[in-house]
Amino acid sequence: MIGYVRPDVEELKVKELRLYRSYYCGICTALARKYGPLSRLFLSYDATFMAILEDAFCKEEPRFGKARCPLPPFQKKKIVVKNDAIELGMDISQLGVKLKLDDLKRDKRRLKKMFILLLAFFFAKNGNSLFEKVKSDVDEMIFYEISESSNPNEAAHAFGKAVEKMIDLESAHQELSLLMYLIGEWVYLVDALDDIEEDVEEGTYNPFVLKYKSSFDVQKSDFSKFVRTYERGQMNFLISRMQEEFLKVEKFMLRNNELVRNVIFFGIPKVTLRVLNKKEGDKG
Amino acid sequence: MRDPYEVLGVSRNATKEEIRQAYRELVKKYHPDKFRSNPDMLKLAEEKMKEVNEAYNYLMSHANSEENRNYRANTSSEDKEIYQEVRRKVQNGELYEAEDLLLKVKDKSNPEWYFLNGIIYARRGWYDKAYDYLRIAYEADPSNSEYAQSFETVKRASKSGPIYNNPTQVDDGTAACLSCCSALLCTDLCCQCMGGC
Repeated sequence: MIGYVRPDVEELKVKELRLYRSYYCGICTALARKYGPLSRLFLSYDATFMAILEDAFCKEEPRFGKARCPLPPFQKKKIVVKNDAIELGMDISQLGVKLKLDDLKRDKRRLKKMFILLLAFFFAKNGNSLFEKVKSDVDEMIFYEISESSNPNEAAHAFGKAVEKMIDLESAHQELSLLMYLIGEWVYLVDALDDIEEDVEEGTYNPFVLKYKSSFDVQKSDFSKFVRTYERGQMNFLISRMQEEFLKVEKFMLRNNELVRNVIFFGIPKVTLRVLNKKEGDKG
Repeated sequence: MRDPYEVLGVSRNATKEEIRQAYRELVKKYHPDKFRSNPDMLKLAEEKMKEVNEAYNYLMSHANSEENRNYRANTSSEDKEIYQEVRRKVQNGELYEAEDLLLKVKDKSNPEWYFLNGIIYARRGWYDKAYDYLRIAYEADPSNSEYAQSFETVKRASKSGPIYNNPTQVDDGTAACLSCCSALLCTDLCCQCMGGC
């Protein structure tokens, strides 16, 4: 469930892209400083987006600095100097790894990804207050998976609730929580839609497969296409809800609204389209 | 108690036999043995099972009685107050509180109850559920323009095709494809009756 909430770079202005990168690099640098160089690998688009979103409501102006980046070496990059938003981005990256870890523990088929587990070790041993906050929701999500719920919205709801708690609402705006929830819900649903073929093949849990179980034998090889066609309405609806909530929240944003707007209006619809129009042989 | 039909996942005109069948499947699904290894999960399963039992007992004692299926338009004053409070909470974005309040409504066959539940689902982006609930409200009372409009907007938002346009032309969410839920709750109406905000 990592890497879906991303901007559509083609639609960004150059200065916006620079700003996006300085958040990205800011989290990356801060991660490397705290957990060692390998931890850079765990930075995700999602964490960057959350950091940008939180900073949009932060009264304090972000400060910019320079940092050395290993890729390409010797080049100095402009970064956002560590602040609350960057901290949040770090916490979320860490949480992402933790979720991945739990995924691995439950799921033997992903053995090839075991190396992540090794790398993640030094991550997980650090207590993460964010993880404590969302534990009950994550448990609920896992519960729906174990009990093989055939309603994708149920687990998506639990995940949405977890995402909703990621931004501290005291420092941000109350209105934001519904937008966060919808983003979480979208991430869960799009991930499940994206993985249909894989899950059918491996026999792992996927709520959409169970939802349309009765049509499975009829559709055979067209099954994933069939499901995606049916779920188009749900995804369209969800996106229009997100955009609507964004427009309500936007007037409270102090900065970064162009970046958030890009993600909501271009990045997310683009990813959704890619998943819905996925053909056989396409890579996820 | 949540909508017992929804808890058991059966249709509103299910026979006793169908309800029994659905109940048996759920018992299997939430069987504690499945969750033995994890105490957190076991607790969740027990909670679920409690809900399922309540719903089952309720339906078994009420099923097939005609009044259970007929939608009634007259609302008790108690329920009316709850509905108003729910509307206010939805308006303020307090969806969890609104949801809890709706559980307190006595007469759960009123179209208004379906309508408000549908609105909450719509707010959360649950398309299937929002569609079902708003459809029931609309069909129970087609003369209500609020129900008809909300049902229509949810349908439209799901068909509008992937929204991939330039948002800079949009002011205050008035663009057609985005107005899906601003119309849903008649924002202006509520704001004014509360003294304008």
